[in-house]
Amino acid sequence: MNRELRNSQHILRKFTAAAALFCAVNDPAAEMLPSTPQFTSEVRPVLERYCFSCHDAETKKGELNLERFTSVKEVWGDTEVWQKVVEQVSLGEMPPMDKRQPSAEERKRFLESIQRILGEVAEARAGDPGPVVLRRLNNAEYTYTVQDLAGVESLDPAKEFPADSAAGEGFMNTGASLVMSPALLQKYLDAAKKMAEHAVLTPEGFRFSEKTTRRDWAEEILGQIRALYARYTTAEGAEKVNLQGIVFNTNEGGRLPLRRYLEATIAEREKLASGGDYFQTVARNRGLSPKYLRILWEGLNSKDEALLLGPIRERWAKAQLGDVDALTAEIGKWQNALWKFTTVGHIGKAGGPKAWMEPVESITDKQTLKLKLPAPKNGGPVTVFLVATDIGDGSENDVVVWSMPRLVPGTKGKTEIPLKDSGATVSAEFGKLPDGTTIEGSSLASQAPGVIEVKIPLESALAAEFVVQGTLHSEAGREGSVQLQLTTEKPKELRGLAIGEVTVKESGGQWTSQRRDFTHTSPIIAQAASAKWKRFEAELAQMRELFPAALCYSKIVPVDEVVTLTLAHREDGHLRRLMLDGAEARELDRLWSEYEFVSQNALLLVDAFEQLWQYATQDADPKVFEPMRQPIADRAKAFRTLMVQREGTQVDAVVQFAEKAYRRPLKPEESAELKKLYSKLRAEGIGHEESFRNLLARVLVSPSFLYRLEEAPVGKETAAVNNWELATRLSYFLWSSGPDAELRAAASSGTLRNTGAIETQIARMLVDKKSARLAREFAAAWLHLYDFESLDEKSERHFPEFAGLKSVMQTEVELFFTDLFQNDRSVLSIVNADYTFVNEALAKHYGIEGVNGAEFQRVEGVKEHSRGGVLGMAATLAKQAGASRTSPILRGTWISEVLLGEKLPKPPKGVPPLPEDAASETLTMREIVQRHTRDSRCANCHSRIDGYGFAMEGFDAIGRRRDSDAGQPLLTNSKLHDGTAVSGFNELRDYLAETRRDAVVQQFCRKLLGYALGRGVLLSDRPLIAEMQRALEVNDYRFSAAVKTIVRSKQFREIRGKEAEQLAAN
Amino acid sequence: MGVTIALPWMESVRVWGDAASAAKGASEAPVRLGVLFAGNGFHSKEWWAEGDGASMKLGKVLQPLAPLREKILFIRGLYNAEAQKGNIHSSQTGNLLSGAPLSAGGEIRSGTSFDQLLAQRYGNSTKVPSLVLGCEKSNPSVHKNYSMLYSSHISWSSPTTPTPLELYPALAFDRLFKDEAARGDQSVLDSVLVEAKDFRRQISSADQLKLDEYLDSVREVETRIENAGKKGELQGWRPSITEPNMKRPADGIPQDISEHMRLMADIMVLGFQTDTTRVCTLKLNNDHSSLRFPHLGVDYMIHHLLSHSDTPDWLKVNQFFLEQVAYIARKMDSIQEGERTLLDNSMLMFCSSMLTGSHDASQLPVVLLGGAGGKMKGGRVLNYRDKGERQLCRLYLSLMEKCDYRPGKFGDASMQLEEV
Repeated sequence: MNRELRNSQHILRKFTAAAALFCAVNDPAAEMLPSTPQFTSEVRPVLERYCFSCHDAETKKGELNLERFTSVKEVWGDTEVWQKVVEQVSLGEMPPMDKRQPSAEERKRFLESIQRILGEVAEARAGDPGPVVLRRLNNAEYTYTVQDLAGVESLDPAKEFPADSAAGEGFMNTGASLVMSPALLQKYLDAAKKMAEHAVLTPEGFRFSEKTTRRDWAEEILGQIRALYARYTTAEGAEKVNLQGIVFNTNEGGRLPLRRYLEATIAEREKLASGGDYFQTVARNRGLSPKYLRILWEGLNSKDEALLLGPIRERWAKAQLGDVDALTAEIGKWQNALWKFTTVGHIGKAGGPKAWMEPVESITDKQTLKLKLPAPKNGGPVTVFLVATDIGDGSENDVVVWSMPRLVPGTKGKTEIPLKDSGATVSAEFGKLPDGTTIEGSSLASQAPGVIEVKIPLESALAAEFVVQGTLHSEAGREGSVQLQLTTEKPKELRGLAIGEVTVKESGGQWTSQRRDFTHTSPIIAQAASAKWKRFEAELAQMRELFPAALCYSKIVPVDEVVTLTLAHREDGHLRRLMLDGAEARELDRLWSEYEFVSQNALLLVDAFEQLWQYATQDADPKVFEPMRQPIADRAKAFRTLMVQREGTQVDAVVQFAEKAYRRPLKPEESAELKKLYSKLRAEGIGHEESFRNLLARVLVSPSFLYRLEEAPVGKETAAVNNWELATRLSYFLWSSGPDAELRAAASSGTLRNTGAIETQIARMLVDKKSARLAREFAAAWLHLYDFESLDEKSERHFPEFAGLKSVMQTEVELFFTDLFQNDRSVLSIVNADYTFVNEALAKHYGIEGVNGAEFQRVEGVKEHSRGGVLGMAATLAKQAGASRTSPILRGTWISEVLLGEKLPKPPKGVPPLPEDAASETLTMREIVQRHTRDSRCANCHSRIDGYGFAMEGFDAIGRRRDSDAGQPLLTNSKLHDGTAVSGFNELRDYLAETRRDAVVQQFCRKLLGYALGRGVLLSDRPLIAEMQRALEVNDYRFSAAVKTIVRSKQFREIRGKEAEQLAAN
Repeated sequence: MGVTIALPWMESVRVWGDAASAAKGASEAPVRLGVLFAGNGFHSKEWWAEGDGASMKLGKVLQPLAPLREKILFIRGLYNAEAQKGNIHSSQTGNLLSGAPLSAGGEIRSGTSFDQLLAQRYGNSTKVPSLVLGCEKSNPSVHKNYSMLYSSHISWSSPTTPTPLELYPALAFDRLFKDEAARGDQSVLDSVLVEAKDFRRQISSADQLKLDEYLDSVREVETRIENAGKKGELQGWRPSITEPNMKRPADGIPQDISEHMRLMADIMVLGFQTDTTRVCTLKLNNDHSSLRFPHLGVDYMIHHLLSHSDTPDWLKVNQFFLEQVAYIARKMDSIQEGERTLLDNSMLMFCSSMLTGSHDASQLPVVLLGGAGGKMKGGRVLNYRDKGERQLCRLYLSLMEKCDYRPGKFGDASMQLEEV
């Protein structure tokens, strides 16, 4: 169509009229016109008598020529005119009061005849999908769609877009009212670019984040990793545990929550021992890892010979629940003795640690023992015992040589004294093994278990340290194993294993020499190549594997270290090995690989290393860091290669994303176009990441995303929309958003077409929390409560509390309808519910007691408080009222038009302004309105609305109950247009719910249908509305009956042909 | 751009716009059009003007304009025939600037408004063809079978495209002065055009019209990107300033309505002064408006309900609106552009879609300020009340003529008002 034609309304009007006629002639149903001569016999004579004086071909008053209709066929050609005729005549607007009036009987038969004809037209054209104008996503749909696509609920891209308007049945999802302009397009482009900033590029493609900086994204992933860590490391409470100077916050995870596992093995001993596989259930019930529970169980129940684990097994076998703490403590000692913790920041440097948690050397071939001698008592000698303990594996070969026992003086200048020369009394002979074999002369020897008692005289003992080195004798002790001890108390027990502990010596100094030296107090002594050594080494490893001191380095980023070359440290092997199942382990690996990718630590490290190097050369020799240089460079290089490798995957991911965004599969040329754009951007010299974001923005500003494009069939005939379009229609109807994965799958497989499958989807979708959007976009909009909370129409002077209440008022409406949809309740409850949803503030507003707190709750029996249904909701009552006074006219009009779907006559011309007493504060609102409607010109309309409004006067302008107005007692009795007398809200509500039930239900159906279809309801929709009403009736008025009827209908499933759509609405 | 779609108006825009700028005298300031709107009419007894020049007498509503009386052209008696055919409010408003018939029910159709027609023919030589601003959010419902968008939109880019209003002062400011072009934008937009063009073939012609809104918009944004930085190359005449002399307003919508209106007024004047736009429409409020005016001590009733009675408070609110008009006019009159002021080079039209709050549209309130570059004489009252051809569209023909645009016919009129 060219511009001239579009702009010229006159030509266009003719065109429309011609098209309508064309439609009638080509309407197959019109060829089979009913034979009833209603029109010529019942209608035309009445027209001639009462209408033609104004609406004949010549006068055409109000551009209406009724004379042109000479047969039923012509009525079929322009039903819109006849619907208007019915409306005007039934309202009593036509013929005008000052013209000749038909008798009541004439009027009735005239209307019935036209209605019958219109009914026949409706039946003949039933199912017409109608003209549905191409719909842009409205602001709400756009926002929900983006949030769902991104999986990020905080995105609010349309915040500053121009507000949407409504058309059709009063909803914002009608194409005609959804416009585009250059300024708006610019906003869409800006919004798309902003959203693209939320994309996080990952090795697998990309995902969206709430945040827009690399640092935040990396932190997000760390959060997920930590959450996975915490799943199995959260122990009891936020207990702080100090291990060798490393403080663990058990709440942050990291530690093995051994106590809870031991408790499980004891409490559920019988079950677990029964042979059935109860590990899963027990673990699930106790929030434990089934994997470790089984490993621990097997470790504790094994019959393998084990010197170290053996005593623990024995204790466990006898343990009751009350022994769990002691047992945990016992194992805790082992954990403490077997593991040491290092500083993560120095891993990798020369002489630096290999890991955060390293095994302590708990087995050795020689041990240096030192003991600070205590002050001598009473001038006597100091006694020291050289203890050699058998470990429990027999003592035959446990021949110990105590070499070079000596006294090292504490004061400077003095030289150390060999024990032999100190004047000490020793219970063993120097230079001899117990069997008499000669050894080095100053050394002592003993057989474990055995004690050598040494008495050192006062003068030698003063402030000295006793030092000795213990080994097994190279021959006699070849297959021995002992533990040694220097004490001043004679030990009572010489058998069994001492667990010992690890002591740490921190050496300060410059950062490069910062060191922690660990010493085990009671290592096992064995000879390096002996079988004993191997056995103990294996047993120690078993203990370490079964009871690691920590499962993972949950801090990850070593923020508390002075100098670090580690940006993030992964050490979670024990967790992965002991706790995680396959899926969890894969997820952990995926998160780490994503973290490495997103954080770009590999690149950051290159700079960090250089900085450290510069810093280090200032005051010390940095060469200890030299070993790190090459690995860092290699890692960076590999990372760069990886990034380039992943570019293709990321571009492909946008193409896949486009399928979700467009709500259908892409055509090959569309994928090609996207890739072409990417290449073009790269060719323009734009880097990968920026090009990627531009590409993503392009998808989000594309017409396939912003509009609900539907392919129209060629020709005039209607045809079914395709599966994807059907899924999209359904999804926007119930969720105001695009189809989710399940709906897409149903569309893709084609199962969506089958009735059972689509009804399953409907049921699923209504239960989903996204149906809250239907409450907002459909219900609240229908009731004119859309965005009620932004209402700024109340006087702060009169209602200072309103500002604080309006959002809870809106919440009530939305919760009420969300509940109705999710629980498939009766639509009659819209007017007649005996329950509602309130929180304390709103309950107080309603005078309902016993509701506390800001949380909303369902309250029953609200009719007692003169509430129930939307009519008694504060939002409705406040919206349909003035800034300071009530408005029976607004409320009455709302009930009539919105709730009952009645048409009201047009206000007469030349009504004088209202008397100034509209602003009076001494007259009641009822009096003010009555003064106004005394004018006979106003009465026809006001008799239809005021009655409703007066009955509602028991609520003030913000919906509170009241019993007076302007200082006078309130009158709430009124006579409705049909003659019914009602008094007050309760009677009016019951009247609407019972006497006017059909009208209320019909109006609901009409509105829901208009919303579902995104257009105004047509004459040809009447049969469908009737069907919806029937379906509701036989299904206890459950909401889903109406939805299913719509979704089954041709209107919902079909689309007009390309050429048919050029025709006007029927 | 490689797109060969038949675009309803964009095609002609480019050609005409360039021709106009070439033909225009190099040293002459352009004529600017500002349309200001207030909803729900005025006090029924206080909207009047009598006499000429300095001795002109004004009704109380118009008092704020008194100092400017010699630049006022007060027009009585014009009406919009199509606006009387529908119901009330929205159906009286959506065609105020076009005189076109309005569609009821599901259809949205008015006519291209004269400000937008002018923007399309005349506005293309500036960075922003037109600025459409508002101070009240639109109401998302349907009233008496007419969409409430008719109440909130008087500017229409095409008969089916109401021009969205900018409510955010900061964003209106950005639209004038922010250079949006970023690397890649052009390629992105080229690419979506390919897609849209492809799709256009598969949809019905009715949908094609709707999709054309999108296509036209993409192309205009592209044009703006292409033209970024080319500002000022075309004309010899230079605006008095080229950069904004106010700072970007804060984000968000001001709580206080008078502050909101004031900011929008400043932006409008700044757009004219910097010659960033020559056509601006500012809707101070909606028809069927819900605004309240606590700062005037009138918070007990919303604008729409106030309009139903001739109370002193209604008068006070009316005057508040006229103060905004006076503010804009005074500000424009204080900006010198050679021998004339910006106001002298402009046409400010203030109007409403009904004369009084009782929906009386048998004649519409119109007051003009400014000199249209010496083509319009102020200090006059014109009365068409009892004349035959009193279509409001005749006035629009006159105003367009002063911008050298003569469409011959517009709305329901084919003759200008000679006296204007």
